[in-house]
Amino acid sequence: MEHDGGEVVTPGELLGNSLSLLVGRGAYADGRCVRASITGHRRLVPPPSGSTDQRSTVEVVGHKAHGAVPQPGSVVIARVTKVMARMASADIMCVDSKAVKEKFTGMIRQQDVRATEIDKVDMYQSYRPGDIVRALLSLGDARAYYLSTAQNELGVVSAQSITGRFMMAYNVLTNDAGSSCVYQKLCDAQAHVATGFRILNDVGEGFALLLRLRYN
Amino acid sequence: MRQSAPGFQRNGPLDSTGLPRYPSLRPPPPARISIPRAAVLSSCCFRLRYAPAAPSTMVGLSEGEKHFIRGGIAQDLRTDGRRRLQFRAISVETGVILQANGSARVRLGATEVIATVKAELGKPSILHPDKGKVSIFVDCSPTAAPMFEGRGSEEFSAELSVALQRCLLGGKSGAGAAIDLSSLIVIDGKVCWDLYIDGLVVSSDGNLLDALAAAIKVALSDTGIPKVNVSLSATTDEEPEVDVSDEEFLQFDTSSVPVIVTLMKVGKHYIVDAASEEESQMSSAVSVSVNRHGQICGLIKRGGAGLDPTVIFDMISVAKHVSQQFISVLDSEILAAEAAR
Amino acid sequence: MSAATAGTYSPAAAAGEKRRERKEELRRHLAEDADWPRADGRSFHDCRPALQLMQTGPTTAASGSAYAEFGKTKVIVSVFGPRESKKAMLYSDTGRLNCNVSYTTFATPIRGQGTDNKEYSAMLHKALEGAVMLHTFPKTTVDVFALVLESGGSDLPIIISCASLALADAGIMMYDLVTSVSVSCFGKNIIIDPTSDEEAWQDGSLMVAYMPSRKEITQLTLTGEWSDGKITNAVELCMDACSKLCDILREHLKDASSLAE
Repeated sequence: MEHDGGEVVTPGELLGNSLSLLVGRGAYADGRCVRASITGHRRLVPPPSGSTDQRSTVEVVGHKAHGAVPQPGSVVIARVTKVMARMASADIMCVDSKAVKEKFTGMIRQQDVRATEIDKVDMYQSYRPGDIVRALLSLGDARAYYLSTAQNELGVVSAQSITGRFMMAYNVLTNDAGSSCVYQKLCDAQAHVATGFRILNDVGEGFALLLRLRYN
Repeated sequence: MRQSAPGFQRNGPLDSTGLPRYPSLRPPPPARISIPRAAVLSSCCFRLRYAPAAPSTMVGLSEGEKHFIRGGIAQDLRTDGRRRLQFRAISVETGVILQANGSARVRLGATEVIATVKAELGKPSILHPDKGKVSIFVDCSPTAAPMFEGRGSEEFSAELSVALQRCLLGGKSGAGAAIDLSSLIVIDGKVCWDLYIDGLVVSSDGNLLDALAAAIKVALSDTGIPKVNVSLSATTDEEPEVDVSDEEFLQFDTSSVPVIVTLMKVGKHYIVDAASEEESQMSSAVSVSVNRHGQICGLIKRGGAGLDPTVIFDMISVAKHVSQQFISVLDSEILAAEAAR
Repeated sequence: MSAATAGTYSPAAAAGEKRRERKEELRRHLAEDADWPRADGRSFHDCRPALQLMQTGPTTAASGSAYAEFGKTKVIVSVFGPRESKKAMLYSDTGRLNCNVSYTTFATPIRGQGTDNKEYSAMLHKALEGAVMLHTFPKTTVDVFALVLESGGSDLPIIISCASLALADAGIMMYDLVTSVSVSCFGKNIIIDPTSDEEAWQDGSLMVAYMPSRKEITQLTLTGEWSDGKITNAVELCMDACSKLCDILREHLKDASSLAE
């Protein structure tokens, strides 16, 4: 891990004075002093240009930070494990693009699936076990974290169909000539601009979906 | 700000930041009511309804109540009218359990504990063949709080037992022990008295450690160890014959049994004998065991927060001062209880 | 390889007597003389040197681990987490610390004697609680598992120091390193960092867990009879030893960290 040649500091060591330094990651303020809270290299980040506070930020970059801990308000990637009538369980795998080392359990409730018509949500149509979901995390209750996909850029990122073929993230607008409708809570593909229609015809299921790539 | 029902804010499915709104878990903001101190004592119109007769179930204190308690302590006036270094009324009864060799029941405000001492003949340990054995064990009964049912009280009882053992049993060599263990020996290396001291928490309203230590002191003063006659015909290898007499008893000398005083730090001041609502505010406390001669027999720091060393030394001197008063009160109560029997 | 009956080894009761007499003598000397050399040659106010302080070598499955050897006491501590609270009893918006201290069956001279020290888990928890920033890992648990491989006296202080080393290695955010030292009292004399022989005959003991940079005591326990002045002396001696031990731990962390580059 690169370091800016800063010296190694240990928890509790004095980094400087709070009058001349702002507290960054890996450090805390103790009265007038700024001390380190993890073992790592001391680094000074110059103040962003245009800010009124001209103090530079001191932070400690650890060589071995512990695995990501779900923080409320972070966007997580989770895999759905269980789908029930009013909620779905998911295993949180990444927090803010950092993988977790230990398993955390999250729960997507019926009212958190989408922003509109939250009482008409059908969990079985929205999620399937094995789907990869991008969601917003909140601390939830004692048993599990609460995940919410009630925004445009949140929802199922990748999924497998019943026959095992990978499906890409599209937005379902209509369906036709099918024995059943599939409404998937999908998320916008942050993809390049694309035009045209693409028809995903799953022979095994016997219905076709008319889809359209959404682009930002 | 709109007064919403505590713990629940529903202004629509999404709040201003676009996140789904979850029930608020924070208590409502403190009520800014100023109460003249005199009015609290003189009239009972506004008084914290933690009825001293029954221990409160700890649902949690609101910010206003915490502020009230802290402010009162800063002004040397606690919620039940006591001063900072004043104990609650203590009442002592001996001989409550007739089957045990000694027993006592102590009431400290609403906290009630029972301590019993049972003596049984046993074999001394190989490392100390000239000393008897004492074991202290505390049990919290579910009558004190429903959370003590089954294994819920295990951790708490273990903490209390260890603290009492540390204070009353002294160093490994036996110095500083409350009970002289060599007086418990019957035959060197073969037969000794095993003392089992059991404490039972019947009702819990804070300050259990002090009450238990006081109860143990009283129970020991009430304990009678039966006299043992050893038959002289025993050879070194045979099991000796001991005859336990029913008539004569040996009393313990409890003048060197220490008491425990728990000092809680609230803000910049210390209080003794915290009631349960004050205890819920505890960030750090020090339990000091002092005997009649002013010697410190044990010290345990409780609570998670760190303490400055000077604060600890200060607390030790305050505890010494307070404990002398407590010991004299307890001694007079013991005498009164014995006279009443 | 003669197995003559005359020369057969038989532990006699007399050997036990002699051991006790020697211990009594040792105790008398320690109580009266001010500079009686101790069994391992230290003076009264010398701590045992840290023979080995390794990190991450011991347990690779753990987030952080440390091994410490002071004299005959050998302790290994592993830290796991932060991970999901298994028990899920009560919701807490700060993190939780779960400590467990166990003795191996071969740790003490008499097999299985280490089970007497069940309270060490609670005491380790109290000592570390004040130093770990629990609010940085809300709703999760950090598990600290300590295993005593050999018990040579002064076990709990060494467990506490080793545990804070393991926590620092795991990258858990802390206010400061917690170091701990215990003293024994024999008569008028105070002896620091006692071995198990000295501990068996002590008149009293005092253990301090201290955060040197913040100058705060997180844990203080005392047994035996002490006077006010003696307590002050002993606590100051302990705090001084804790600061020095903390410097050694810091140097070690820095060396290990630069090696890891």
